[in-house]
Amino acid sequence: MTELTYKSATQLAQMIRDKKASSLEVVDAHIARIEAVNPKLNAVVQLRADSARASAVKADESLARGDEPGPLHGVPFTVKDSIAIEGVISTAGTAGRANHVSSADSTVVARMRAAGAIPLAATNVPELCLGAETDNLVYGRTNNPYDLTRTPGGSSGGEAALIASGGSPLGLGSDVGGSIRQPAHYCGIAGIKPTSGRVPSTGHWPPLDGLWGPMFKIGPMARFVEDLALTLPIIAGPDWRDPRAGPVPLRDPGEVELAGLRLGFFTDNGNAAADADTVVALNAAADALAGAGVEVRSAMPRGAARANDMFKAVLQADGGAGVRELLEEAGTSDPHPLIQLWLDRQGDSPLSAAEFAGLLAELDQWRGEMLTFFADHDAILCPVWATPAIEHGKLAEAGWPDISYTRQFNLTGWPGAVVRAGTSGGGLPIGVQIVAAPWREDIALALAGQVEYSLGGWQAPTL
Amino acid sequence: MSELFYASATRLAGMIRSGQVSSAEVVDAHLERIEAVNPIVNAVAQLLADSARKDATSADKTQADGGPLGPLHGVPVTVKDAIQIQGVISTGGTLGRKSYVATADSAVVTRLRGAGAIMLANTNVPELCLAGETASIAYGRTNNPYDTSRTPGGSSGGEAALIASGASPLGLGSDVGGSIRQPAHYCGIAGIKPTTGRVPSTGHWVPLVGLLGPMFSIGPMARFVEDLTLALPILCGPDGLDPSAAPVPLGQPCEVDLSSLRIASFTDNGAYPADADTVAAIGAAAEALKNTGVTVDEARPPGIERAPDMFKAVLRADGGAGVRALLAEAGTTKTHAYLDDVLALMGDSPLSGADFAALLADMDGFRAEMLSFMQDYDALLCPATVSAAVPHGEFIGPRWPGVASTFQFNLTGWPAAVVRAGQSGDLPIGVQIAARPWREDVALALAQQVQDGLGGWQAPSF
Repeated sequence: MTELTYKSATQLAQMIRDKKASSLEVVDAHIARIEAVNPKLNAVVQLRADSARASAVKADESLARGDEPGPLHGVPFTVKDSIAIEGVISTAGTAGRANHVSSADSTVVARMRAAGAIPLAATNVPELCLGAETDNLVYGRTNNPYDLTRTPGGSSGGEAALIASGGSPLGLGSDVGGSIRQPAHYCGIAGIKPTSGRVPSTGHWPPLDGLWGPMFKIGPMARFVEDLALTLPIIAGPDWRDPRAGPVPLRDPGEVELAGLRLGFFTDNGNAAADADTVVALNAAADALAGAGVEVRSAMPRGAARANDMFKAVLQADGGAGVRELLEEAGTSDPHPLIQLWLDRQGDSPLSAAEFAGLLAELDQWRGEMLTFFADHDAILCPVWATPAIEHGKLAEAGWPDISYTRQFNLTGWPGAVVRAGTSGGGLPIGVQIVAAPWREDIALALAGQVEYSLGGWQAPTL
Repeated sequence: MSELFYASATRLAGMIRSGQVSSAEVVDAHLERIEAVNPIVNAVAQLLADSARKDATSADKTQADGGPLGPLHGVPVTVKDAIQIQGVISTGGTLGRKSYVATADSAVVTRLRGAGAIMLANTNVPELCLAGETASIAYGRTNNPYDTSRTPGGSSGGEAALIASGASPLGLGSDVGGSIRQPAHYCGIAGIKPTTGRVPSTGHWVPLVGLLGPMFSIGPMARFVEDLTLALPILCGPDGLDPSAAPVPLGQPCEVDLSSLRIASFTDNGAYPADADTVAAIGAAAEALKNTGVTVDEARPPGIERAPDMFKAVLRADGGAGVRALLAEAGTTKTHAYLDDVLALMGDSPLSGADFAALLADMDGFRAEMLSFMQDYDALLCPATVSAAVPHGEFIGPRWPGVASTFQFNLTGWPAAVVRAGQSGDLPIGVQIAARPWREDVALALAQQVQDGLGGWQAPSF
């Protein structure tokens, strides 16, 4: 069975086009895999078994008629439970929306469908997507496929756990502080947070706009880097709704010349030093890239050490008013403890307007300072998180600093990819983060692809 | 002589390149014209006569030596007194910076120089660029060349007055609420506020970042639309310092197929209807465009009537704290009366942090609603403000909400051009053409067509 469920989405699309497998066989194989693994993971929250099968039959008929297939023709995909699929319950993990049925596809789901892909399931998230663990009062807790006592991370934790286990070849996550990258790292898969403005957010609930808008992005997650490269052009580009989405040309990672790229490499951002196993994985990735002719230098952007304080200021700016408003909008009276943790961290001393305006200006100034790093560098290699997956419920103890490696690139808006590069002594996957200059997803993906090629990337769990 | 000082920058560059005229002659002609008109308009803040002559001589030598010639080789240009030129006093209109000498060129000045242009002068702005009229304590009041009892508008009022008078062929303004477009309209020239993120702001003082960042852009001003088309590609693209500048390809206006375009025209944004002369100018521009095959519908984006309230909310968000911080940074203790008026409008009831965050989200909602309208339209044709140039001192106050006509496209971040399309008595009236984000090519192609159909800029009487 894993003959189909451990394949890349790229391979599955090719097999379907070549009629070596039907879309229905592929969809059935994934439904069977979900039935096998989900009792352990609790990653799937809405399974569209019947409608996915119906779509697969249509996809097979269309191919038999000789219609021109899209790049993902007949391939199933999943999305986190904050990305709307028409007719499917979308809760974003909050009780008030337990029965909320989406009235329209989000832009990214509509685009995936147009490329021939078939929405198979929605996957679990922490409440309002505000947490680096995946647990909520609607669907419960999602487990890490490599150690069920640990979290798959969050907020795209359901996606990461399911994809790592072969229950989905390809998924869409979203990331305002690390929500694609940290779960990808915890579960040993690949993922990319595109540049701010690359992919429209239309149809994502909660709407991460306003202050959060410049930091938020939807992006693809998969076991294989080639699937990120296949998916990104499908979901990128303006949609006449999201005012932040800009038509910057997206380049092909296959055309990136690795030799001579200048890579800034660091393992300690001054907030939280990576642990020994993580440093080993990072060094392996650095060696792999150096082996491909990349010029690896020990360097960190000026200002990176300030990122943690900057993010904290953003988080505390409104004293939690926005989160409370979302809960009210959803009709949720009793939120999950992770939300309380979040609200605790937001504090109850919102900034004054003058301070708020000052913070926005300071952020711009800081972004400008960070950007100067790319005068001498093409990309950055650094930890995703200071450690591999933590045990369930330990996020409060992990505290602020561990999250600082991902969130600094939300503040800058730069593209950040994750790919597995090692394994901890305890058998947990360890991913590394590869960040490129704004709009250069091609470089991030080319480097991530090289790390995967050299070090093997994703490894099957023993579920 | 007017053959030189009323020529377009494009034509001057061609004449210099072909050897018909030297850069030194062109620069001298403009210096003479400045001497003639500046006593009337008071637009120049710092005149760079010596260095411009020196640069012109050097440009002529480069050409004689067969050196590489940029697209603006030897052409004099001016910038508003907020765009820093290395070694030149740059005040941003505030007294505390009366003697402040800029230590580096702004990104756009570097790029103009890289294209061969010669810095001729910087021009007057209101204090901190925060007014729709142009007067500063350091340099006094700038007058409208078509009626000196009236304002040239602001904040790029010095540029507009000087360019309209033939004392500069091409200039740079900046626009966070209408500061390129309203002066261009008041002085009957052309100008474009590019899409937010098109042109880097590095080296602009005041730094319009933070809340205002997504609304701000530097852009070119000239008598002729073709000069905007020439200048924009020189100015645009990331500079590695401004984090908001994005590498979006810039289309060519000459490749736009006008007959395939559908635009929406309106004269009333739902809050402030334009006066009769302005309505007539919009009507004439719409006719000129129809004649070239453009489809013109009478329509306006739903929700646009919220722009004046959004403007007020943005203006009042921090209760003037940001302005006071800039004044403190500049060391200004005595402010101009216009800025005092603006500070009064800003009030002293700043938002709470929660309301501030909600305002940001509300602005996103406005942007999304406006954008969805543009799925069906390539561009909008509408007033730049509700009337022709007003007497000095009358823009701020009761007419201040008229800023919404331009500010609505700062909120959206879309490109918006202005070109002269009519008059009110002796005063020029420009119309505003806003296009989809990143489609400056469409805005400029349409503006060019209005200019071709209706004549565009007309010389003032002096």
